[in-house]
Amino acid sequence: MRVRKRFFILAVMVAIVFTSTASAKSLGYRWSNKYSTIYFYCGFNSVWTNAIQAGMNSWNSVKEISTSKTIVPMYVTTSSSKNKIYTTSNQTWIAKMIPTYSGSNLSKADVAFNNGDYTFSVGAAANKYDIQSIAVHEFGHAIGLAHCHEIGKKCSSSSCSQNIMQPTSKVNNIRRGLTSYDKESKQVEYYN
Amino acid sequence: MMKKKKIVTLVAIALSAIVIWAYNEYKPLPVVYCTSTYPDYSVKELAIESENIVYGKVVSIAPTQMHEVRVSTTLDPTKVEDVLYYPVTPVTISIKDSIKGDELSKIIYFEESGVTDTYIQKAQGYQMSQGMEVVLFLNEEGYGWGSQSVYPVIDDQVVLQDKAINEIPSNKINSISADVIEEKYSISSSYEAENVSTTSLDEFLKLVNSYIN
Ligand SMILES: [Zn+2]
Ligand SMILES: [Zn+2]
Repeated sequence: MRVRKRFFILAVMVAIVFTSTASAKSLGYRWSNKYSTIYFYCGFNSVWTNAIQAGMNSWNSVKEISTSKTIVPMYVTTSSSKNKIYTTSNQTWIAKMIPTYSGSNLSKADVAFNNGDYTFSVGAAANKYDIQSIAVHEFGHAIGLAHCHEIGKKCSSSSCSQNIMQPTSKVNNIRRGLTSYDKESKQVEYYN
Repeated sequence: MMKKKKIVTLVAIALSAIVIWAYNEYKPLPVVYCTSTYPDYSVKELAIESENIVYGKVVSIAPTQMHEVRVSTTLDPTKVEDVLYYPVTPVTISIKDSIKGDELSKIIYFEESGVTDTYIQKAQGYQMSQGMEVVLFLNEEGYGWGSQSVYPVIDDQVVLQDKAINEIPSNKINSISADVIEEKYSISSSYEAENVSTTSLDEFLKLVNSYIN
């Protein structure tokens, strides 16, 4: 009987090791230490820097439910940092988070804004993308979140059209505020 | 009796250790989803932006290449200071119909997907597979604007996306079961809709042509 019990405990231990924490809203990775601050080097002017930090702040305000602690807080810095914010050109995307992975964790996140092919603005403007709206989306990827759906697939969220983690972005449009879906995605990603 | 229990426990611990080691050694690479943001284009906007619009069939899929992104930490993207990389998969399409651009027999589409040393990047939406028929909207270098540039064709029916539905007369829109797509192309196991909207290839190409002529 005691042997069986030990076997059972071992089986449970093995099962815990095997259990995946991935959810549908996750990119497949997250930062290993959920309480440490992630700094991003940003050498842009104050207009861009402030809009980017404002995008990060939306995520920073989402706390862990059980502890009320801030999870993976993000800040721009002008000191050197492994994570950097860039501009680029000759791409079809407006912006992209380019990750580096280590084992099953994110170890570095770079974000590139394609201001060579697209034009950015502060606020809604014709044929331009609002910097903060694009930033809040990309820094959602930078903490490990995936899109709420991919095009051609049905969205799992009723608030989809308002979600920051929608796959595409519109010109002349402001979409800066996290929906409850977006907030829950972060809380689920860093649940345990 | 005590000895026997000890042996059983030790064997169990050893087996668990072996299983955990084997799992870590041979575990599948983690799967990562799209991290790009593309403009929200209608079919009309795609038709205008594209250098080549083709209808064809996937004849080969090459190994992953790392796509180079030349970047700057200043607001001037031409002041290149660094290079980033992400995986792309060159997919050769045998062209049945060149709708826009040069008359070609083949074209290479660079799908934003691939396998790296540390992860597997899944394509957004419909992943290319051998024998798949598609209408693709591509720029001069063979890149699309995410999955909104990819329209799978099944039995002469074009699989539409939300925006395309608004551009086609409602009496020309049909519906097929998502299972049909999955069976034919094994597009994605996470396909969630039960039915998808389609239109005939003729009707779709008529729409695209109306935007480029
Ligand atoms: Zn959605
Ligand atoms: Zn995105």
